[in-house]
Amino acid sequence: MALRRLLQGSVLPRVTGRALAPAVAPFSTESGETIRATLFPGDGIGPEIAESVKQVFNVAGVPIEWEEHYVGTEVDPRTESFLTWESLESVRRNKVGLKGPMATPIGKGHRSLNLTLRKELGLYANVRPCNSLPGYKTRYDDVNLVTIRENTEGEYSGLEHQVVRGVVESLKIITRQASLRVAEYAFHYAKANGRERVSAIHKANIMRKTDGLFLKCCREVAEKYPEIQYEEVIIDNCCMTLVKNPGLFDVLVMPNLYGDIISDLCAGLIGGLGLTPSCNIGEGGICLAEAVHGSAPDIAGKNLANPTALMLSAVMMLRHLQFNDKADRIHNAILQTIAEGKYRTTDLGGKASTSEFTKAVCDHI
Amino acid sequence: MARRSTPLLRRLLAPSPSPSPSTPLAGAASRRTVTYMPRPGDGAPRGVTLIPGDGIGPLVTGAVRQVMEAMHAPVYFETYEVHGDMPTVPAEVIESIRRNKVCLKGGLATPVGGGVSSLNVQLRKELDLYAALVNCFNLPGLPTRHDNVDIVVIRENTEGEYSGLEHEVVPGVVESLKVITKFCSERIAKYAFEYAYLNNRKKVTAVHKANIMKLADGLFLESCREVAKKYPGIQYNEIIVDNCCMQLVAKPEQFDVMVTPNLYGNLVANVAAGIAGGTGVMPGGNVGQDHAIFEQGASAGNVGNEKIVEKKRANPVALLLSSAMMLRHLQFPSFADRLETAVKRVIAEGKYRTKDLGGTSTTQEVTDAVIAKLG
Repeated sequence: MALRRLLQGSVLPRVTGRALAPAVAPFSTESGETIRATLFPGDGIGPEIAESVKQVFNVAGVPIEWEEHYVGTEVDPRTESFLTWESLESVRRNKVGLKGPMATPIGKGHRSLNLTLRKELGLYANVRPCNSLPGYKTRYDDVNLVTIRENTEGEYSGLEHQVVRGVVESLKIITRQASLRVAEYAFHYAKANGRERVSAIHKANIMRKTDGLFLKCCREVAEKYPEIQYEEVIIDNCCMTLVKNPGLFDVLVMPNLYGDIISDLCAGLIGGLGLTPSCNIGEGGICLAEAVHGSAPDIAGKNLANPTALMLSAVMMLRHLQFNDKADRIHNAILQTIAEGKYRTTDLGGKASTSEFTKAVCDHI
Repeated sequence: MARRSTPLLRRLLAPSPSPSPSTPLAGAASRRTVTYMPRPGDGAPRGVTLIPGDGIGPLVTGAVRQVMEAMHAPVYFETYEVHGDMPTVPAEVIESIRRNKVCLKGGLATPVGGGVSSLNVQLRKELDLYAALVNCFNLPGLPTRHDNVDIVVIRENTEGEYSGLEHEVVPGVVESLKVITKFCSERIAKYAFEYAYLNNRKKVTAVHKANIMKLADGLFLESCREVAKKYPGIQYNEIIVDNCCMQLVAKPEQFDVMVTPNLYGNLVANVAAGIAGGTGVMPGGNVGQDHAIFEQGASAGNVGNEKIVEKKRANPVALLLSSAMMLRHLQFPSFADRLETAVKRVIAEGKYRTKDLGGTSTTQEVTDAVIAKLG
């Protein structure tokens, strides 16, 4: 059903399900049945923008019941972090969640919050669609790509040690299992969203065995999807082409480190982290959408924050739940509000407050 | 001074009767007094090892050769054939570079995925060329999305992620070692600050990912901080690599000199080159204690595709500007200035540009245009 709508096509700025739907998930969309979703408002500006999202969802009539969880003040020994076991259980049960920005507490004796979420929920792929927002002018107009980044291994395995004084080794690990998993997801996403091409980004001419294994896995998966074009691009060329001609890319699939850098680079192309949605896919069909910007403690509580990133991430979450028409309506409302330019928050060069922007989006629905 | 030589001297020092200059530069060049004072014997020709390389390499190195001849530059080239699929760089080539101390090379394409290790990397390690430098700047007359770009990326060239130490632990699990040592980090930091000091640069930025790779990049940062203390006149700051890439596409004017470990340097150099006009125009090179190899600035392994080679439309600007850097390194600054001025004028005019700059010229046309503009 979602696919038929995709193929119908439509004219900009009306956006179809093409741009943001993460995956085909086994959720029913019968009216009257509310879906439970976990919400982590986060710190700093988190609670305000989470409030905006809730308002917009209410106005659009989305049948979602939020379970709010906050980061605790003490380390929970079961999770070794400030996130409690109950919070994680909630996400595991609901299979879907939305996360605001969380400040990383400094100190020892606990794992970082993002690391905890990733390990406990098995979040293996980070999906970031980057689309130029019509009406918000950056130097690039034709960005329409999705970066899919392997999120569990690679250079971020955290395995470092000092060999002798002054010599440090850090391990980069690539496994067949993880590479296959993320490649599968990338092609599945491309197919489900009507994307034509998947590009694997690598540096296999230098790191022959590690990136070579990653490429081998991508090739294997590519053979199962003959209708989708597959290409391999060395990261040097990828970086250069992205800043010269980003319209040439469609879906990018990458190991962890390159993915980190390239996805932030692409966010920069469309206007920064304040406008970029993001979603983490975990084992068992878990989808945790999140806003990737910081918690901005300096503007917290002042009604100045830009809720766009969290709203767009929430839209991604809706598409995952297959509420495609509601997702489209909210998405179009957001795009229209930004395109019109009357209500823009300060980081986009406007003077509107969070509540004014939210109200404008609600009015457009 | 004998009386007869005075009128002779007067004639030599008088402005040459050239046609009225069309640009201010032309007039200045003919009126300029001798500012570079050489030692006697500095004009003796210097030998330079030339490696044409693969793909577009022979085309662009041919262009450099032509321009050098047209200028009567005091360099002679010792050419050696090296290709990316050779197992190692031939010993005679290394021998020649050790003798001449300077090399100019086109790219060497490394076959992807297995078999041969990159010869570019091998050369750098063999000769211990520990600093790779790319100068990314806006060329006047070449429209790009970003103005105000003038960045020099200095990248550690021997260790880091490119150590080449990989192995398969069990089938399906591969490990690669990233090695960071204090010795290498310190010397690249020293080079970066020294470069900034000698070239009147105001800021050095260290690019890292120490929030995740705490020990490895932490060691790199420590070394940079120590060296920064010795140069109080130069600003120093640190930036995480993903934020760095985002800032490069948004506000490139905030960066001046950037010092990075190996892999991030590759990415940052390519992004910086891309925003300033593309890897076809950025000069760069690799330098060590004793030797230097000059090549296309970023992405030396990119040798273009067959179509470009066939139609002979490769962009020689990057290698021409790198050879100008080489001429300065060899202490022929006047020739370097002439070459750079000619290239910049050709680009500014816009008539002869290759495809990557939005034009349709061939390599030869651009080369001829540069030769015509040599003052």
